[in-house]
Amino acid sequence: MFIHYFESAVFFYSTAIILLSLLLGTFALVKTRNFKLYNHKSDDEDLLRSHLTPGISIVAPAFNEELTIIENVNSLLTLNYPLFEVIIINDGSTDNTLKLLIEQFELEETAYAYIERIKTTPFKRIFKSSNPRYSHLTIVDKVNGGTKADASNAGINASQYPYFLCTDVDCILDRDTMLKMIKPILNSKSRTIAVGATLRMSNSCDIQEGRITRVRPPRSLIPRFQELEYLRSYLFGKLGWSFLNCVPNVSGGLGLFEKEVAINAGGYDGTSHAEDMDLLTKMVTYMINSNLVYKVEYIPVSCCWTEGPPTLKILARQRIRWATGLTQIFVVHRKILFNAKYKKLGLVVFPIIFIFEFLAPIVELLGLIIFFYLCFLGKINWDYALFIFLYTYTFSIVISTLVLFIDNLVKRQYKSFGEVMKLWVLVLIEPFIYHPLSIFFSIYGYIKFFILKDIKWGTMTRQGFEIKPEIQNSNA
Amino acid sequence: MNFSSLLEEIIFFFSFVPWIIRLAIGFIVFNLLVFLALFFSTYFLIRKKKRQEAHYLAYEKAYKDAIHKVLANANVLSASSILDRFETQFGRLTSVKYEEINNALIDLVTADPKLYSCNNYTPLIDGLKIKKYLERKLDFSKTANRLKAMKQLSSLKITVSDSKILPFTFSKNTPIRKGARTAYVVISNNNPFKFFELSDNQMNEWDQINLLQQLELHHKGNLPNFSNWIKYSKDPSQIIFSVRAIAHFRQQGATEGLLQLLATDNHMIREEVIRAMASLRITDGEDKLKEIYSSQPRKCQVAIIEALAQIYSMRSLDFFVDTLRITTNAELKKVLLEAIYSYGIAGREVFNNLLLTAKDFDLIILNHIKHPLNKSKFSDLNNRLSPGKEVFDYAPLEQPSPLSLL
Repeated sequence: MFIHYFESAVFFYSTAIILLSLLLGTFALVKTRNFKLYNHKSDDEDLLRSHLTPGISIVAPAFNEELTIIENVNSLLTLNYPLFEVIIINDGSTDNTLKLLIEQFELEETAYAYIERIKTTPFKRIFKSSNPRYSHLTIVDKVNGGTKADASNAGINASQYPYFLCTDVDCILDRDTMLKMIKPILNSKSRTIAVGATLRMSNSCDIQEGRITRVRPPRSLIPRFQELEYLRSYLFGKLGWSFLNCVPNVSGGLGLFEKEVAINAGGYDGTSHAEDMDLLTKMVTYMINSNLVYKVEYIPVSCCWTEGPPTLKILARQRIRWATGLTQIFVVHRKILFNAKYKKLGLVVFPIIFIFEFLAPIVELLGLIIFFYLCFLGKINWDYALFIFLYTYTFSIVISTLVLFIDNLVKRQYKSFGEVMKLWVLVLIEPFIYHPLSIFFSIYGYIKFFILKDIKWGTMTRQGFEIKPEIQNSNA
Repeated sequence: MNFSSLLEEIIFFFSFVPWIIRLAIGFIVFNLLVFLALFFSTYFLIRKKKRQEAHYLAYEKAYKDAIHKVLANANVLSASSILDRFETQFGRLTSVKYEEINNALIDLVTADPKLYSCNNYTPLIDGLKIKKYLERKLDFSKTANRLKAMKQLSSLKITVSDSKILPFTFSKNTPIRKGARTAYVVISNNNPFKFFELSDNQMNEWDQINLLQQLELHHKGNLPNFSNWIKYSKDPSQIIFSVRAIAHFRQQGATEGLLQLLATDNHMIREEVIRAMASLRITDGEDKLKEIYSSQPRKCQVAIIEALAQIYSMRSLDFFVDTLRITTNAELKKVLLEAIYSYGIAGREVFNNLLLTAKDFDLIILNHIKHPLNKSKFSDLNNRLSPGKEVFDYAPLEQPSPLSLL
């Protein structure tokens, strides 16, 4: 009896996901069309020339990043924007991160009135460069707080401009990132408190002087799966949700936020493992509580390239942390779920994330267990099972193909259709290889949170960027 | 098996399967169709973009060279001879070629605005029938192309008759309406500033940036008096724009209007007025600013301190010191101390005395301010107002008062 009800429930659950996805896909297409319609290539020039363009502080925490720190800071310093500063937070690195920074950028310890508007672990000192070339670089040195959130808060405290762009120090940003991301804030009737953009994998891309010169799909399988997953998450999920002003999360890898609202909302939660979703939830809650009209926007432009976990072990660590983070969000902000007081956040965003993201791995695992149990009993109607399987499988192919279409509609990132195909091929095998792994990591994350009570941030081991032979030769 | 028997078999199969399976099969067919459509669309999209990029890359330099040759010619060329030159070199001018030529021309005039005044600039526009091409796009194309045409018309400084652009300035489509109104400022020969009179002319930050850019590029010599609109406009965003324009274009005649506007209830307008007073160095308003300081929200208080420091009349030092004495907020203290530090010899003396007695965080603030590697809030503000150079030539510290500069 239970199995019969479970089967029907799962069918309706997956049909609901499919209908929701159809809706999101339509919204994502409309948003992309509007973006193409109302953005002109001369907009960047107008912003560069204007004295009304607001200043942006780039906040990038660094913990043991000696392998890539110099190239990444150089990359941030060459961004194209009329008024910005780069704030690197050395979060108690135990390697040579700080030493390398001091040597490379001619840093000096500077008296600095650090006003702690958001509480963090103790701040130690500020470094600034004596070389005018790096005059907009600030290094905040602090005691390790254990999370990226704590370090980001210190960066926000030290920032001086009204907007801050939060990124990871290992991310390579497109030179026009800030020009692209500030536009939705400026071109809005209501107050836009956060803007997100698309992240991709930097693995296998050509990088010169901290800039992506040629985008390629990652050669290794795991980062390539992630490229597809990221594109789906940004160009389908978040972009679609932004049509309804229901963006659940602006990625920690790249997000532009209004500083005043972020500070009033309490900044990042230093103990959170999903600090990005936590911050946005708090900012939106603050706006709702203050009866202020707000907007959270997403642009379909690829602005940021990050090194994806190259091995299964590192991927597992990252995904388990994401799962514990998501659980933490629902525990900490439980009063928002299904609460009409929080409007769209309480009645749309949180319920949908809870039902279709948080519960999905549990439903899928239960489904697998029941499937194997029925196989064992020989109770599977294989003819019908094939149709049910094809029903969801073909839909997942449609969604991923739609995402690749949107990506190319916005900008042709890969040189040829062949490279797009390299990514597309993974669409066919993803449900059998990558997706089960994601379920396993999520379930393990939930177990760690609820049963083992073991929550650690963990580190992401970087390989560093591949330097092209000719550059190595010239350096030699 | 022929088609009809296959169809019969499918219908027979359908009539016996449960409705869930029927639904699933329906979705599978739908998915396959959508997939095929998306897959081939992606293929053709990539192919089209690749060809367009390759074509423009191949011809960009040739277009720019041909344009340069025409513009650099000392003799005024006839429109027909210019068209002949281009058609001989590039063949018949199709819409793809028009787009590429327009882009090349915009790149050139943006990089070197002097090209607008070349003898052959108008013959080039006439000869290539660019105006006609863009007017046709305004009349017959979709929204995106219309917006693009408006941008291109204003970038190329091509004036068109009001009948072509006016209908769009009242369009229900907001981006078209705003785009048309901004373009109208440049491309109308009639009354380019007529939309400032309208009450529905709401402007967000982006509209303001765009419009200010157009005014800067195309109307610097014949600007209207913006103080008219700060008096009569009902829309706060338009008032803010007018105040910003007054400050940006240094319309000293607007002083009285700005001082009156200081009494507004809207603190966002007030903050902008205070910043404009600073830009114009309106000494008459100094006492008023000090008077209202204590009743202002934080943003306006910061603006007042910065304005008094920028006005630099040497009459505000006592105000800074008195305010500092009663201020508990660390950020305000920092701004006040920066103001004192930049306030001439007298200010520097006060600052040094404070340095002798200050303790704890106050001492850190003082050390922060005097450290040469920490950028001053005021120099930053100056850079913002006029990127790359100081707006005001601050009087050297040796001079007791910079009032003589006014």
